[in-house]
Amino acid sequence: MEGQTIKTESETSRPDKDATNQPRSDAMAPDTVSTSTRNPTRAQTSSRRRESARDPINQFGAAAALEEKPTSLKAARDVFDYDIPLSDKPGLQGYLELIQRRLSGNYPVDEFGSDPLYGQMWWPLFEQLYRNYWRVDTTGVENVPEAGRAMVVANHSGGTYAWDAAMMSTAIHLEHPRPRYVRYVSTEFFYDTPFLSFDNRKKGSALACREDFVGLLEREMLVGVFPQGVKGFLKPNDKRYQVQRFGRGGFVQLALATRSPTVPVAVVGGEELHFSLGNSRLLARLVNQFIPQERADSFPLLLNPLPLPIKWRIEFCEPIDVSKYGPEAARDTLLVNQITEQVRARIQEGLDRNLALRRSMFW
Amino acid sequence: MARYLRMPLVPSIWGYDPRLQFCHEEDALSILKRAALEDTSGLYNLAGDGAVYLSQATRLGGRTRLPIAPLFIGAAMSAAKLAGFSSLDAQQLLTMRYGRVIDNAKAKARFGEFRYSTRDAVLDLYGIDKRPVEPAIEVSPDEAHVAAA
Repeated sequence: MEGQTIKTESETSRPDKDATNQPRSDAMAPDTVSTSTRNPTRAQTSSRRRESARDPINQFGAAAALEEKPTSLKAARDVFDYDIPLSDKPGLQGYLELIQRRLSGNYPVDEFGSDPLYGQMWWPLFEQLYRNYWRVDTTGVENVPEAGRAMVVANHSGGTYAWDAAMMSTAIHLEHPRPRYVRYVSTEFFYDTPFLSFDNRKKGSALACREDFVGLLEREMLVGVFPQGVKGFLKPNDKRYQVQRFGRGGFVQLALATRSPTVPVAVVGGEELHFSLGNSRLLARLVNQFIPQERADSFPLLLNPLPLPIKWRIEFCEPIDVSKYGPEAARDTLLVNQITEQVRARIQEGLDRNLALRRSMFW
Repeated sequence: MARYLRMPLVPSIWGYDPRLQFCHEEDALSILKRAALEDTSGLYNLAGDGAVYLSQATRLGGRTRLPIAPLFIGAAMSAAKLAGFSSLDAQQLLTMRYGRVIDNAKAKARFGEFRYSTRDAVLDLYGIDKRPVEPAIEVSPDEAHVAAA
């Protein structure tokens, strides 16, 4: 799976705009740092997960109380699948309580390093970018399953930061009837880089290796994959919106093995954020000198380090259901290649469709 | 590791926040005892459930971290050696950068549940009583109603 880049961003508070899309908006406090809504349907997945010996909640003893009244409405909500209430108190008091809790160390972290309290901190920024800077239009968000294991597979873009991953998470967070975290899987590269290393992990991403990938799916999480990997991240200008080769189809093998539905996602906008002047090997070697352990192969030279105010469109395409094949189909190379190509084609079609819907880069 | 975490100023690597896992002495001893007395062979990963970030561990213990830029790690280690502190070896240094979390499922299947989770072990290390992590997440009936509608 090492061909897969990814990045993360998951987490946090709910919007209060756009009430039509938001059946729960009446339960939402306008203050982003106040208690977020939780959803009872979560109970089904939670109860299934509670049986697992490796249930992350059990480690913190939070589930113990819940076992006693399994049928009551006080159902567990998995902290690592969605927001945790930040504070019951309004305004400044809520903030102070939040800071106090942070400094006391009394917050949950799962084995993969997801730290919802940290991740939630980023929602206000991502919401601003989503609504006002990039004015993202999202379609088909209902194609993302409300619960259970699933995979979202997208074209990758970036240059400085995986903004596409951030915006996909924000799209699900703002538009989905029952939002959930996207747990991205990313290459080692991000874990070697200072600050990005823990930023990624705390926002819920994991290393793109078989164990972590399957572990997340077995915990019924929504996993985000960018099979183009670094090829997408460091794309030259003339290759924009041309989906590159997809690693070795490792993600399809895992989808088959775990019977996870795959949702192809076309992200238009992310690939135009920076004007690339090429990638420098020399600069990469220089960076490697100054940061021990850093093993960057190439370093992007960008005309504009700050992302441009591009008009974005995100389309969650029709999911590809692989449950009709058994887990043993993962060894069928022909089938794996076929499904990989199907996913790639669906993303490319989605990109072409959405590019046509946009009047220009900026509008 | 325990001595390291008990220092009033805990040195860490700037820009990295490793995930750590701990196994409580009691758990380790009881498992060793069982492994010695019973017929056991094979390799087992011993670690309490869950993981904590170094930042979280130091916060739980009320300690402050002292971030050192990666460039100066070597110098800082030699200085620590000269000053008579014990130094970290290369392996430990890697752990301080990336952290490590292992799968303890096999050990749990063989020896039963661990009495202390990673978090409990850290709290015990600092002499703090076990306490549940907040918040205990619950859906209140009226909220559940709204969400179901």
